Amino acid sequence: MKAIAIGAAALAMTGCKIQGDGNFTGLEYAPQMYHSVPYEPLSQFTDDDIAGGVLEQFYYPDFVNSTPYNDYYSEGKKRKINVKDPVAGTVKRQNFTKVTGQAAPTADQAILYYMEVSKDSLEWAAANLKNPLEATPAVLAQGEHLFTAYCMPCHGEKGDGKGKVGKVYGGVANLKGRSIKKATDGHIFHVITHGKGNMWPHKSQVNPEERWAIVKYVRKLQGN
Amino acid sequence: MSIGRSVLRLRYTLAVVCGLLLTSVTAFAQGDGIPTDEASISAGMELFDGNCSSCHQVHEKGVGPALKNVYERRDVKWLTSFIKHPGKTIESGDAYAVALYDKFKPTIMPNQDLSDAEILQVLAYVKDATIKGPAKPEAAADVAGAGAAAPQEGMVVSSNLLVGVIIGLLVLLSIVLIVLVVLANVLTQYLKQQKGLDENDTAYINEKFSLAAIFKSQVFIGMSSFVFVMIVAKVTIDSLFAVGVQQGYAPDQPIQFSHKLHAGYYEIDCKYCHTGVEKSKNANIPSANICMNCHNSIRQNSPEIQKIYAAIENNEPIQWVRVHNLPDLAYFNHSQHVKVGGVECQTCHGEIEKMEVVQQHSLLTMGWCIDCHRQTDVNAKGNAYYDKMVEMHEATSKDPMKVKDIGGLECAKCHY
Ligand code: HEC
Ligand code: HEC
Ligand code: HEC
Ligand code: HEC
Ligand code: HEC
Ligand code: HEC
Ligand code: HEC
Repeated sequence: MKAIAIGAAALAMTGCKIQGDGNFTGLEYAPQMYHSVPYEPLSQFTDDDIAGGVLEQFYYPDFVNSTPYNDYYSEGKKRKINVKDPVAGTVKRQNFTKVTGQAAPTADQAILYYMEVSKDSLEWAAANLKNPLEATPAVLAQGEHLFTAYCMPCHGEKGDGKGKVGKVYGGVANLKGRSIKKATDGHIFHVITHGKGNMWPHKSQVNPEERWAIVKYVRKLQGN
Repeated sequence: MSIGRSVLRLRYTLAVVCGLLLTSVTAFAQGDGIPTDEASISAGMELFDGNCSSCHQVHEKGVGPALKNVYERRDVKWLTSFIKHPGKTIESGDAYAVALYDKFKPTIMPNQDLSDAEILQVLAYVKDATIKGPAKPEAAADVAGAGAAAPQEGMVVSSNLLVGVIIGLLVLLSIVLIVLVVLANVLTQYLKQQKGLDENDTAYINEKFSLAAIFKSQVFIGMSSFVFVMIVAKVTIDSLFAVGVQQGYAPDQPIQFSHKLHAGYYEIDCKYCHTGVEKSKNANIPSANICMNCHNSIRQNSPEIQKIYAAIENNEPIQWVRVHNLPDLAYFNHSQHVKVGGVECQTCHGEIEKMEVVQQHSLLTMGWCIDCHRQTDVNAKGNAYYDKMVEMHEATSKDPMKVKDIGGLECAKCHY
């Protein structure tokens, strides 16, 4: 009799799907352990997931993504995803001393570290911004690493504008062309930050320090 | 013959010879001032490749107009000043330039830093290429789909072949079986008709195959219930271990985004989109503005890409479905593994660059983390942070320093 009961239980278990597959996450045990009580990046938890279940006693409705405090809350639509915008009026910046090894920034460096360069200030940036980094092997290696990730798809490995995506995109500049060779570091920095012409801004992907390292590597590609 | 006349003639021949020499050096043709000699053409080709080819082709329209016959549309003087500063020419109200600009908006050709002589060389190349006509189109191997689809077809063919072979073998086997059964029957019939067989033989021939007797035997019942219990136990334990394991989860996404196309065919680095992977705990899912870096001009009309535009217009994040998810009780940090540890994405996530839809490749259980921490050497080279630790480790052990030796098995490193 016992054997039959165990057999029936086992058959029932093989019958129901346990492991994840396609749209099925897999059978979850204690699902409340997966969800953070505080607001966490990339969590996907709405009040539907709590309503009526055991979870109701552990969670406050304000801590799920469907809360009105979600930056992208809109009436009548459940937000599964949480995306936070930076606080208004703030500028993300690097720790100056850590990046440059200098105790205090000089006047033109201060502008870079404490103020966002605006989109329509290409000429100003080209004339005034100076590269705070030296072309040490470490900076060049970092620059190459970043260039390969963020610029190579369009500008190509050698910077000649012949990357695989660049061919589909069209109109990608040759970084070894004469006018860009003549351009200042500040000009290239501004192009990465805000884009120019058909190139779109890349500032959300690389922070100022990384941009300056890329500029140094572009200089190396250009052969100076 | 006077001396004066012969001097005159000499001068005349000299002039002709000089003239000939000059023309053969610079080889001006038809008086438009564009050189036709090999040296200029090849120098022009190099300049064109370096400065113009990203926007212009000779025979086909790109970001800018096709340049074939351009030297007939406009004269060299106009072309030279246009190429040097197109913006200024357009602003000056030149009707032809303004019409061109309207056609190729919003792109405006950047100023080209070339000398007059170099512009002539570029035009020489353009003219030469115009006269030669378009090259035969290269095999359309560059089209994205073609490259990606080909290997799949190969696999379909080979698996079809395999099925064919198996079916063939099965058919052959059944034929052999039927032939054997028929043979056995014929033989028994024949033996039954024979006289003079002894008792054993007749019993053997007439014996009835009795299933019931076998089923009732002690040995059979014992054996089969043992096997049954073992199978049941194995299935139960396996199933229980799979509870809470999401390996294989591959949800449909709101946009049919393909890693195989982006990271595989176009070789876009993972970091281009997963920007946090070397800097923070989270790898990050790209926001719509990152897609727009390329899709502002690639495939604007595809319905899938329209969804990105809609998301931006409605100021609404794309609702990607999360695939990998550790319980809140465990702490995992990408930058520590990718940047410091030097572990490849593929070790944990599988061959993402071959996936159309992302699938969870690893178990993501505690045992999986611990196994790797037991086996993996710490990437201590060139990292001064580890120098002292390596020294201390080497004083007591001959094995290389593993993650477990720096505390990779401590509960509190992952649970707090
Ligand atoms: C999506 C493709 C794409 C990516 C990625 C890209 N670029 Fe560009 N880039 C372009 C295009 C297109 C142009 C030509 C813009 C124009 O003149 O309209 C350009 C132009 C430039 C220019 C010349 C601007 C000028 O003064 O005319 C520089 C410098 C440059 N890019 C640097 C970079 C760097 C550095 C990176 C990596 C952080 C990068 N680009 C990534 C497409 C790209
Ligand atoms: C960033 C893309 C870009 C680059 C690089 C570029 N052009 Fe252009 N070119 C254009 C566009 C766009 C037009 C159409 C006019 C306009 O909108 O400025 C054009 C127009 C022209 C024209 C006039 C064509 C006609 O049909 O009358 C000529 C000639 C020309 N370009 C030559 C060159 C040469 C030579 C180079 C290289 C030294 C070059 N261009 C580099 C984008 C480019
Ligand atoms: C062009 C942008 C892009 C590139 C390049 C890219 N990804 Fe992604 N990745 C995405 C997007 C968008 C998603 C979310 C949608 C999905 O899961 O398909 C994603 C999802 C993922 C996920 C699943 C995330 C989750 O929810 O658990 C993993 C793992 C991943 N990518 C790894 C990689 C790796 C490894 C590479 C490099 C080989 C790579 N990606 C390159 C855009 C990109
Ligand atoms: C670095 C450039 C780049 C980035 C960034 C990028 N893509 Fe693409 N994408 C491409 C290219 C190139 C193609 C192939 C176009 C072709 O084959 O004609 C493509 C194709 C696609 C397609 C297939 C379109 C169709 O109609 O078949 C989709 C969907 C897509 N991308 C979605 C995305 C999403 C979503 C993102 C943002 C997470 C993104 N892409 C980011 C370059 C990029
Ligand atoms: C040591 C194993 C490991 C390596 C190496 C690794 N990942 Fe992950 N990845 C994980 C785990 C575990 C998670 C789940 C994290 C969680 O839920 O907190 C994850 C989650 C993700 C996610 C989902 C979003 C997030 O940030 O949680 C993305 C995207 C991702 N990984 C991309 C990458 C890329 C790109 C690389 C390579 C540069 C990479 N991963 C390398 C183990 C790894
Ligand atoms: C592919 C191998 C691999 C896997 C799988 C892996 N790790 Fe690691 N882990 C490493 C390596 C290598 C290091 C050492 C990095 C370093 O040098 O600091 C490390 C270090 C760590 C550390 C820091 C240990 C310390 O003492 O500083 C934590 C915490 C950690 N891993 C958590 C996890 C968790 C949680 C998982 C499972 C979700 C996991 N790891 C899976 C390879 C792995
Ligand atoms: C390398 C990181 C790591 C270390 C070290 C580690 N764990 Fe874990 N542990 C995990 C991960 C990841 C999970 C979640 C596994 C899953 O979701 O299946 C987990 C799950 C657990 C669970 C199950 C919780 C549940 O109910 O789902 C317990 C209990 C646990 N760990 C206890 C411990 C103890 C005790 C230690 C020390 C001896 C320890 N862990 C050390 C990573 C670690």
